[in-house]
This record gives sequence, structure tokens and C-alpha cells, in this order.
Amino acid sequence: MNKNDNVLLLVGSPKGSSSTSNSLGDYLISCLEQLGLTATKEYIYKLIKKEEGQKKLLAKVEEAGMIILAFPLYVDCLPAGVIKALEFIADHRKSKRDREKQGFAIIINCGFPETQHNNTAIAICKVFSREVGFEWMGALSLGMGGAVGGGSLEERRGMVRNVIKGLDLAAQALAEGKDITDEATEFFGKKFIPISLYTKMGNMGWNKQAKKYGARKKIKDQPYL
Amino acid sequence: MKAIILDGTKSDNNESTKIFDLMLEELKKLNWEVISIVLEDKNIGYCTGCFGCWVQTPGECVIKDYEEEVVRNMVHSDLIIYLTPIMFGGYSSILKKALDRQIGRVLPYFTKVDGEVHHSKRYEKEQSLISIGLLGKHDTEKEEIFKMLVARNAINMWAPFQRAIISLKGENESGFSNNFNKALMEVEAIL
Repeated sequence: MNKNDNVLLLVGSPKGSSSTSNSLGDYLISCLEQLGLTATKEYIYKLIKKEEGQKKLLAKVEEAGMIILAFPLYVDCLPAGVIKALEFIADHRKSKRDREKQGFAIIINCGFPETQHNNTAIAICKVFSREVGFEWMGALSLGMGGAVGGGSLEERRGMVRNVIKGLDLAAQALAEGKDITDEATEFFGKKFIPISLYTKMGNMGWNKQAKKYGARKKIKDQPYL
Repeated sequence: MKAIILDGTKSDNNESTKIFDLMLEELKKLNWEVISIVLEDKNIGYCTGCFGCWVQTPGECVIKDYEEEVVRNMVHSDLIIYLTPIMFGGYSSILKKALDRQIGRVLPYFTKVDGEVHHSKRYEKEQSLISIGLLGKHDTEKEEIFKMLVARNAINMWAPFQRAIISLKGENESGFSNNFNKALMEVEAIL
């Protein structure tokens, strides 16, 4: 097996297998597998907390020909655990002289309806890629991530048809060793529903979730005053 | 006037010690009451993405550790100061761990700010934000990303004033102190 055919999916959500990041990443690597590549998956938050996991993370990254990092936007940026993983990787690769060019692409999603919230995090990933000597292959950026949720994308085909189309196109390009195309990015980032409807449904959803915990009337509490 | 410094640097960083001391000196000159938290020394767990701070125990994280103290002090401050090495243009994981856990400072509800969707305010009191980024050498791309990140944080956390200050290794101390002092004066002007 050629090392370049070996894809590593790193899921950067602390929610792990039940996350939107996992659903999106899973779909992409299943497409890549259908196109003849081999793929493995690791959950970043499971690896970073202990030395053994950290070593495993570094070994997995070194073995891969292409790394796909899928994560949610946290406070305008990458989640802390993902930054930690990138710090480990950067530190480890500093000492390596003959670094093979490995592809690096990301899938990012945020709970806001607009994809532009993700731009800073994408820029950070690009700098990371440059710094560690990876070959930047592009970013798939999604808003309304909360509406995708965990689980299989195929099961909700209608609503996420453009997301699926974007991932299909991205997989095609990546499998050929090319960057993610603009067309793939555009399909992937298309809004599923109007923004006003998303925010209305989102606000109702928060109330519903709070009610489940008996906290509906406390949702606007100011505990530290 | 109360300020909280969230120090997201590592203890072996001599540059950060120097900058930290310069900041304290300027804050004292202008009579700020300062609480500083060296995050590396504190027991703060990772955010689990459960949204418990919005729907289960609103305003408070469900994980009980030192972060509770961090958020309480943030809420009561007039100014929040981040101190961090610039990592790929962003914050260190040490600082970010504390920031991921403070989203209870806003409400889950969506609202529009300048035509873009953000979360509504939980508290009436607002905190200005000054973020100090330490960088080994000049790097335009990283510096621009860092400034963009601080500006985005300020919008999302309702900071009435924000400033990103980049400190390059070995840079003249008076230059940093002047920039920091100017930013403090601007914060004071809107209090």
C-alpha cells in the first residue's frame, strides 16, 4: 500500500462519535474508501489527555499520507483539545528534518447559520499546515451545524443533500491528489433553511432542552451576580 | 476598575514574565484592581460540548473545577486581559481551555449583531478585551489572524472595546508599555 493512499480522520469534537464532526468526517472517508483509499479514524479528545494517547496520535499522523481534521467551532476558533493536538504535532515535527509532504484538509462546522464565523479557524489551520510542512488541500466550511447533528448523513439525505454533494466532490478531488474544489466548498456551505427559520427553531430548541432539565424558567439566570 | 488577567503562557516562557510585569506596572499606575490567574497551574478541564451551561444549570458549567472562579471573576470585571503565545495565529491551548468553558457568560438565544447571528447577552455589565499575543518574530499572516480572532471574540462576548497587542521577542519594553497604556486609557474612557 502506498502511504499516500492512507487517510487519517481526526475527529476534534469532545462529543466524539455522537458529533456532527464525526458524521461529516465519516461520510468523507467512506467516499474515499470507495475510491480505493484506506482510512482510519481517531478521536482527538481520547488521545490528548494521556502520554500513551499522545504518542499514538503522533504515530498515526506520521503514518498517514493525508490527514482530514473535522471539528466544531468553539468561541471563534478551534476547540482547546484540537489546539493541544496541533501543538503536539508541531512540536514533534520540529525535530524531523526529512519530512514527507502529507496532505491536510479540514471540515469545520459551527452552530451559527453563517459560514463566515469559521474563517478565523480556517486561517489558523492553514498556518499550522504551513508550519509543520503539510500540504494544504482546503477546507469544507459549514454553518447550521446543529441541524446536522450526529448520526448518518445518508439517513437525512433531503435536508443535507448539498452537504453530501459537497463531500462527494471533495472526496473525488482528494482521491486524485488535488485540492478541494470551489464547487465542493460551495455545495457544502449552502444553507439548508433560511436564517430566520434556523434562529427561530434554534431558540425554540434551547427552550425545549432547558425544559427537559427543569431549567426553562432559569435559562436567563445570572448566577454570578 | 477591575481587571482580570488570564495568563495562558507556559511557566518556562521568560518573555511572558517580562510582559506580565510590564502590564502589572501600567495597571497599577492607573489604579486598576487586578486579579491574575496563571491558567497552567489550575485544574481546569476541557469543555465537553454538552451545553449544560445554557440548558441545565444556566450560566454555570456543569463541571465543577477552577473554571467557576475564572468565570465569576470575568463577570465582575471591567476588563479582561488575555496573555498568550500566538499559536498558528490563535491562542494557546492553555488559554483556550478556559475560554471554551466561559460561554455561559452569554445566553443560548440567537440575536443579530450588524446583520450577523450571535448569542444574546446574559449580563448587563460588559467587559472590554485586551489580548496580548507573544510572537518570536514578525509574521504578518499570524498577526492578522490574531487580530481578527480577538475582534471576533469581542463581538461574540459583547466587549465594548477590544485591542490586540502583538509583542515580538526582544522588542523594546517602552514600546509595549506605551501601547498597553494607550489601550487602558481607551478602556477607561468608556467606563
